Amino acid sequence: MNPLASELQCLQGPTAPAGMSATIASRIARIDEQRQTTASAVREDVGAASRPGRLAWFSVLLGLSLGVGAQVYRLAAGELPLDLISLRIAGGLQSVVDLAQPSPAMAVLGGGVLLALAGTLALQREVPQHL
Amino acid sequence: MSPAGHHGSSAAGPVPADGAASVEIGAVRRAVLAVRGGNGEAFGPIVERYQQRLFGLAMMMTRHREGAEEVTQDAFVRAFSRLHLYDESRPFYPWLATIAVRLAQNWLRSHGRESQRVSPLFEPDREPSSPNEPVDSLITIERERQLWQSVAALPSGERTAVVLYYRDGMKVNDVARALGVTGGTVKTLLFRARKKLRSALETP
Repeated sequence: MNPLASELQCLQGPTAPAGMSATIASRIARIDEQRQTTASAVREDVGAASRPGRLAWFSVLLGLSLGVGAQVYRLAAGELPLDLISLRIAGGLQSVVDLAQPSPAMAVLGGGVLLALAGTLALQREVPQHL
Repeated sequence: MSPAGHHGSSAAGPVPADGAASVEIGAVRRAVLAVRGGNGEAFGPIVERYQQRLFGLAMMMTRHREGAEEVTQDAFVRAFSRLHLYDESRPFYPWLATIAVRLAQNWLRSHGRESQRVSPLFEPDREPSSPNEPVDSLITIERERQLWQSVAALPSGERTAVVLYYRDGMKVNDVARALGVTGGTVKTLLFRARKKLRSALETP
């Protein structure tokens, strides 16, 4: 390698100002702090925004569970005749009315259906906010 | 091929040997991973490692002490902010130097008149310590001063290419990327710079 190239490799420049690294460190610390503040704010926002969503989903699932549970109970208790051979309703509308006799299980089913519907509607209202 | 045969760089002195360079690359990589993991303080060692080198580059480009300080600070802050864009498989210093070169170019566009023809602010790290210091040492210091001022007197592109290629040990392609030119242009800049420097340093 020629002497000029060797000299250039060892080229010494002016010394950096004494307080420069401290200034850089403080600027970086400010950015870091802002980032962490922003990140925690975003996390809180996301958490707050997801609470109604979680509640709606919970109500849908609870409603469905109650409805299905009530029917399973009726089947188990023999209140609801199960015809595995023919699942169609033979007696027309009257059979449907007979099927839905007022009973505690039917009240639970109704409550469950209402709860599930409320949850579904709440979820539908939330969708546009995220788009 | 870079003159030093690798991409790494030390804090202030000559470019380190291969072993030291690999240790340095490992240390920088660990710091980068730590910063990405949320530990902002891990960027401190990176600043300590490269600030002198980056300040020298900025000083050579701007030929203005306050301007160089501003560029160096902004380069580190920008590197920190955009660390997610850094490709770990590549050496760190060329990426950092590219940021500094762009910032210095912007600084020159807005403060062009403040940039001096030849930097009068060169202060060698090794000042004569006593009147009895060997003459050889004084000659070396004077030679370093003369070399710095000769490089600083080159046109902007040439002096930046010289610093990045020779002093910082960057490859021609990395220098080209930093300057936003082709590899051929960098070779031409280096050729012209060498010619002018030989002529300047031979002149008594």
